[in-house]
Amino acid sequence: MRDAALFLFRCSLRNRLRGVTSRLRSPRYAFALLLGLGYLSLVIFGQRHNGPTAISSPSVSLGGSLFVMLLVLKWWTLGADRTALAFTPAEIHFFFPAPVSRAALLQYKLLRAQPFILVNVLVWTFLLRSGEYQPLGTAFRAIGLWIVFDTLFLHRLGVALTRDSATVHGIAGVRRSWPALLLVATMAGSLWVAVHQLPSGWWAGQPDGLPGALRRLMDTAPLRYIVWPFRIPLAPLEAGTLREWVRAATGALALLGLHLVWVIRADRAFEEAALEASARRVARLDRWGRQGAGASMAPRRTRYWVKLSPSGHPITAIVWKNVTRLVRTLSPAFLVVIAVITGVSMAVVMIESREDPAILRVVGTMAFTWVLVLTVFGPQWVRIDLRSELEQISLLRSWPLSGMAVMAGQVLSSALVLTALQLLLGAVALFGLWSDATTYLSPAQVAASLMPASLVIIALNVVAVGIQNGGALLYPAWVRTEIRPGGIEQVGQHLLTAGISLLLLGIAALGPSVAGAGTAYLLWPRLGPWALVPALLLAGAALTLEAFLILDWLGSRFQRLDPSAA
Amino acid sequence: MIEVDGLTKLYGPLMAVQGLSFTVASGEILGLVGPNGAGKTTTLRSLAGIIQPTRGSIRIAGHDLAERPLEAKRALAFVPDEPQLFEYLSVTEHLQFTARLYRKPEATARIPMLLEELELSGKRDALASELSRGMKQKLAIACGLLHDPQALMLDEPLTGLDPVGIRRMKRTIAARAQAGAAVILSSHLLSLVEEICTRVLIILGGRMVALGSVAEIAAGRPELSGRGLEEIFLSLTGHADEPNT
Repeated sequence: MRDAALFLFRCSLRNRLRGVTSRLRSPRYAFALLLGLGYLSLVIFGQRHNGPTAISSPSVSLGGSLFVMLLVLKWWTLGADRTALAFTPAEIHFFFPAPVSRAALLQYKLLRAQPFILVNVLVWTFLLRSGEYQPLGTAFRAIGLWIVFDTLFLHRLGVALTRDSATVHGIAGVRRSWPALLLVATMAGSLWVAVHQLPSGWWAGQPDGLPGALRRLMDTAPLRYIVWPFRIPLAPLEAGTLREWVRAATGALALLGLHLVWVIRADRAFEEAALEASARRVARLDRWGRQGAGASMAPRRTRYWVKLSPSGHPITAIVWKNVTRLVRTLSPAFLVVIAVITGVSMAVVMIESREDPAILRVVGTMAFTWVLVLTVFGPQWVRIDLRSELEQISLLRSWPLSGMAVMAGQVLSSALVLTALQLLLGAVALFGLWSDATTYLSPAQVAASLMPASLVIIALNVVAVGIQNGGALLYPAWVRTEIRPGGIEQVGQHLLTAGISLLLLGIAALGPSVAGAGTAYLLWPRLGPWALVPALLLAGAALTLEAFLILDWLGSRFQRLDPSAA
Repeated sequence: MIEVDGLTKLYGPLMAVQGLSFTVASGEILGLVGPNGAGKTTTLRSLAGIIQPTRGSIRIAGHDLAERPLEAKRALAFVPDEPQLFEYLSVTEHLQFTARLYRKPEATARIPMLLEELELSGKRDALASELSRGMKQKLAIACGLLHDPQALMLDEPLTGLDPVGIRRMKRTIAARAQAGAAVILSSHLLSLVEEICTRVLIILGGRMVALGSVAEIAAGRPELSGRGLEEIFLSLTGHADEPNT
């Protein structure tokens, strides 16, 4: 098995390199590779000059311990770990009917994971280098990171095997997760006790902000003892001297060895679970590739959802179809992650400010920031349009609709969802920053500006999503329709497409911006802040005209598109 | 009615279809057969308005597909060999969506009957992603039949169906033809083509090599007299000496 695996790796690597080499004859791909290399060089060598601002080793160790702890608890309780058992369809086709032992299959998985682990080690070594508490060299940090990632990989695999074995033996639900639930309860209790042992306001007065506050909390008994096992694999990263490093690495390697024994000796019949996990992974990656990371779930039925009325314009039917996809495939876990990130960001801002935080202003500022972020990057993230239906282009072309109607339905789907999100966040921002807004504008002026501002937002979104769909029509091969190991060249492709899209969006927004700003400038002496209303209206009208022209162009391109080229 | 005149499709230097001309009258089922790569799918895709022919004209129910594409497409239905469905829509929602696309709200009244006919009633609320390959095929065909097309094009319609499903599907196709639809059916199942098609079009390398009923094709070639479609096909495509078993 080992020989076969090594042969497979060798051939795959050779063929991939050949493929990349042959693609490089095309200037487009060569440029993408150069761009990708340039970007990575910037990331890697840019770090060299950021020594004083780099994350310190204790912070890495602390944050890493917390992260590892949450990850392990998630694997044991939620059980979303079966994907750890997944193989590729080809691996299943060749290995499962072959005379290969289960232990050999697991060894193969460990071996196959090494390139990914090494890439992660490389990336994190450079990202975390030059901490002030890290007198040891980069190699020591890399070895420490390799131990962490390998331990995590083996733990995940072990959890998957253990939980699957419990399922096979008819142990399900809470009974299967009780040790993890007990640990969660113990940790929650310890956290409560630790917080009550600390003086009030302990988190606000820390000299190094949030990391200091967290470190103080984690070092308080009894939480300190609960967290200790999760610190073992990360201890080498915190070592200040060679002696400390050797001691810490010995402990971490011992833990890794125990994990290896645990996994390899687990001679359990995992083939069925592996088959199921593999099928799920293929489906998830496919969805992820076509619709973005938020849509990684299999579609699920919705009990309550808008019914499509029998009559009406087909464009609304296309929009309904695409929004239905979003509703039925959006992962609740993705929403939880967004909520957690938002909550943590707010907490960080409040703690770092070290003064009485005006929560409403913090919320308003964050909401406004997100409106801006969505304006620039939202069209690349929300993809419920032609980009996710390139494989169904034949079906779309057979519909009795003009190209413009099909493309209008597709583009409006993403644009309307984006607009809804921005308006929602905009309302939150306005609520949070009301006092700031009314310093310069009267409430009536704010209210009057809302309608034209909404017009600007929706028209701008149609233009931006239209540009993205134009890219899909012109260069369908560059649109991500599947997750595949693309390497540096693919990084370059993404950068190039994102950069060109942003450039085109900037060019498209320039004319309407100048028109709007010019109007405001000319009318301000007469109307004062009321000049914003006609300025926004004019900018919105200009953007609407551009949106119409883009949809018309997309429609004609769609009519000419050959499905076999998509 | 489907009228094809001089249909030619080039992919760069590759001639996928070359000068095909034929008509399919109302009530007729034309079997489109040919070896792999003969140009069957290209022909059907051209007839469905999915790809634009390099040369030639296509008329569907009297509408020129190049000049009046929307009118022509409203009169036709195309069911590809691999069912292309939206995995996040339910069976019923697919049909409701199709009715809206074809602007036929009255067609929604036919949904229960169509589901019954294609044995999909029990799956009406299932998402497409939850269906088996055969069920997906039936749903794709149901979507094609919903707006009562005058021209029906089916690419390998029986793939993935069980024996009962195959029998029902044959009945459904025949019933549509009897109701006045012009049907083109592409399949490698020559026994099926021989059984339900009124005429057969054999293509090879993008060119038409025979057109007519099995008896008519055989009549034109004395050496094929009394032979079945399979033997005629093998003979005309240069595989006459292929052993039977």
